[in-house]
Amino acid sequence: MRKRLAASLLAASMAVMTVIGGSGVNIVSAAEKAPKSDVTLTLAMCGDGTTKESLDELLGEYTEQTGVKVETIFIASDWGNYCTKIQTMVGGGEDLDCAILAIEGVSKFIGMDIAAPIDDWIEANPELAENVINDTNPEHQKVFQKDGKTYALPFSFNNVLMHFNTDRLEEAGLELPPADWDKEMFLEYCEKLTTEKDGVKQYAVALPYGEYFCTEAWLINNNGAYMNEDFTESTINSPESVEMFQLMQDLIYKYGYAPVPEENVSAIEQLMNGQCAMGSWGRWPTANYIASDFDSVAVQYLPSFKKNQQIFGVDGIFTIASSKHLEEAKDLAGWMSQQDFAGKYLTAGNIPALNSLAQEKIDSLGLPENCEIFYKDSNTTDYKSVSAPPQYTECSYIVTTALSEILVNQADVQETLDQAAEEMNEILEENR
Amino acid sequence: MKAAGGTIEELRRKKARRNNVAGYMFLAPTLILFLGFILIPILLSSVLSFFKYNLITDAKFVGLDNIIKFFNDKGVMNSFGNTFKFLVILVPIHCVLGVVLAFLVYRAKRFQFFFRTAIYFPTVVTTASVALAWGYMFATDTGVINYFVRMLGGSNIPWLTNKTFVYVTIALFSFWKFIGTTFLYYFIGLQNIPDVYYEAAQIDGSSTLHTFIHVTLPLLTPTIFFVMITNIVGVFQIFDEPFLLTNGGPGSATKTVALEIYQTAFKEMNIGYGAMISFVLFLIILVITIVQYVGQNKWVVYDYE
Repeated sequence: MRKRLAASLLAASMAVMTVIGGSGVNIVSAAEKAPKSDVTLTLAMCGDGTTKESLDELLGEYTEQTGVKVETIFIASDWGNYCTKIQTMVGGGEDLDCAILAIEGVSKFIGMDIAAPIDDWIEANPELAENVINDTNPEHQKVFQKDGKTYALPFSFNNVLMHFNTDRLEEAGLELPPADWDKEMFLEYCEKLTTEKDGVKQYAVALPYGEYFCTEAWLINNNGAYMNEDFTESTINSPESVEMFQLMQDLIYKYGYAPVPEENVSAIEQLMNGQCAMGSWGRWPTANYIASDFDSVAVQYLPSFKKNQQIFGVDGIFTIASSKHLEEAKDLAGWMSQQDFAGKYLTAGNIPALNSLAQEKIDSLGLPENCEIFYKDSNTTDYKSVSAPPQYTECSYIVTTALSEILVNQADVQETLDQAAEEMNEILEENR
Repeated sequence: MKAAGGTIEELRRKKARRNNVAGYMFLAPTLILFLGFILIPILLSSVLSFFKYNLITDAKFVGLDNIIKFFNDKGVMNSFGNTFKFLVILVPIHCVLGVVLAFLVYRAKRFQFFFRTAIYFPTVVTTASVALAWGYMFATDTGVINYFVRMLGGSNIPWLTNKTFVYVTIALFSFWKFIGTTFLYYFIGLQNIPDVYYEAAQIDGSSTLHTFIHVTLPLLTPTIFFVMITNIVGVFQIFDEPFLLTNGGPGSATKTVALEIYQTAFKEMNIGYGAMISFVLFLIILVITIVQYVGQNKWVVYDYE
């Protein structure tokens, strides 16, 4: 009996030991899997920092998963100046691991070896990479590829549409124009939408002043562009481009349908307060619309001056080649490209590059009216990328100065564009 | 004669040496700052002018390419032209109106403190914030200035979108924003003029205007000279006003040399060429300042006695 009792106690104690021992193994294993890292990455974003809080919160989740901390820097400027700032930071030896980068700076950053290729990450994480590759426009992906190497995955993009103040349309007795509206119909709309209220003139359209991307959207709808596709020669003075710049000048001085653009006057504000009934932008003004509780807005394609050809600009999260933590930086860039992060971060503003997400996010916001055209054609050849040579900063300056001469100074269009083309050709020469 | 420890001559030399060492010690902080932040950067900038450099890739020696480019660069020549326009407009405004304002406030029997504060106040306000406000005020369709113009029966004035009016607007802004500094220099200059001259003029029955022209102005010439030098140097480097109000526009009508340097060196990252433009600007300022210093003997009165 004693023996049996002793055996039972021994068996019971062994069973307990086994359970404890087993869980002991599990605990050790879990501890091994727990994220432990003393790496802190620095991520640069373009913007005024209004989304910093939500971004930091989301990146907190990344830290929980991986142990890698992420510090964010927001640089409030346009893409050209943002790229310059990144270039200065990298040149100055500042610790920078990842940076969002739009098409405007991609060629330059790849050409200068500022960006690191991520092919090894794609190979090591085929499933994560395919999540993005299979759900984004190949044209968007091509922007981040050079000489067989991939430098980033598409994160978000924009096309350029005509935004309408629907109150102004209603006052003028107009409906949202059809998708295939042309120059003639555009001028008819302009005529009807140019009025006067309380002694102040109300204009039909705000022209894309100082906006390289939005201005080229007008040109490509007229078969024009700033330069040829391999960025070796300027086409800013081609008959198609000249015709479009001339129309813009005429809209102000010949017809009186558009105000003279000014440096410190926001055209988006002008649309919202009704001073202008139309304006051409990407999806970024939706953030302004929401912030101002402005919902009397609809979008339509730009008028098909010669054809309905849409423009796009796309951005991605890049890994900086000089990063001391390249592997972790690539992991972060890959993580940020996934649906989970992009879905939480991209609400208003840019269009998510993932087609499924774009549809979901844009439809759920439901603003502006007809908003599905933000993504409807994004996977088709109707999209053409904005001209973004390695010398983007110089070229954008030439374009915006010429635009200012034409729209503000009333300079001769052909003469101004000939001079702009000459200056641009000098710069593009090194691409030949 | 021999004193303990050496001759008087030796002692004098020793003392002079000690004084010299003390003098250099006092000068040292300024000299170090001057060397570190002015002279060496100027020399490095002149060296950089012969290179192509973008901060990322290695600097490449390009010989005289940047100089040749400089003389053929229409944009840069336009910027120098615009800067000279600002020079012709702003220097007289600041130099002349500054002295008039200072004289009027100096002679004011009442509210002198209020006027002094009111005139100097804009100088301490951040330029960027007030420039933004001025941008809104001078907007063609919605600006408050044109609102009053329309109320008075006029039509909208393109303050910031016409290449002639834009100079008027910038001059107005510059006067309002920066006249306080010039005013302060003149005001101190006026305070330094001994009262005996005014008393003598009063006894001689001199009118206010006569006293101003024949007493105040001559005795204020050292201040006028200083104000002219600082204003000319300042206007050659003018950046804030055109950058914040017009960004060099309309077109490139108000693009100054400082804006050109900023654009070239820090936006296009063409550091070498930017250094070349800076160096030329430095030489121009240097020559003009030397000419002014040489010419001052003919009109600046330092001897009050």
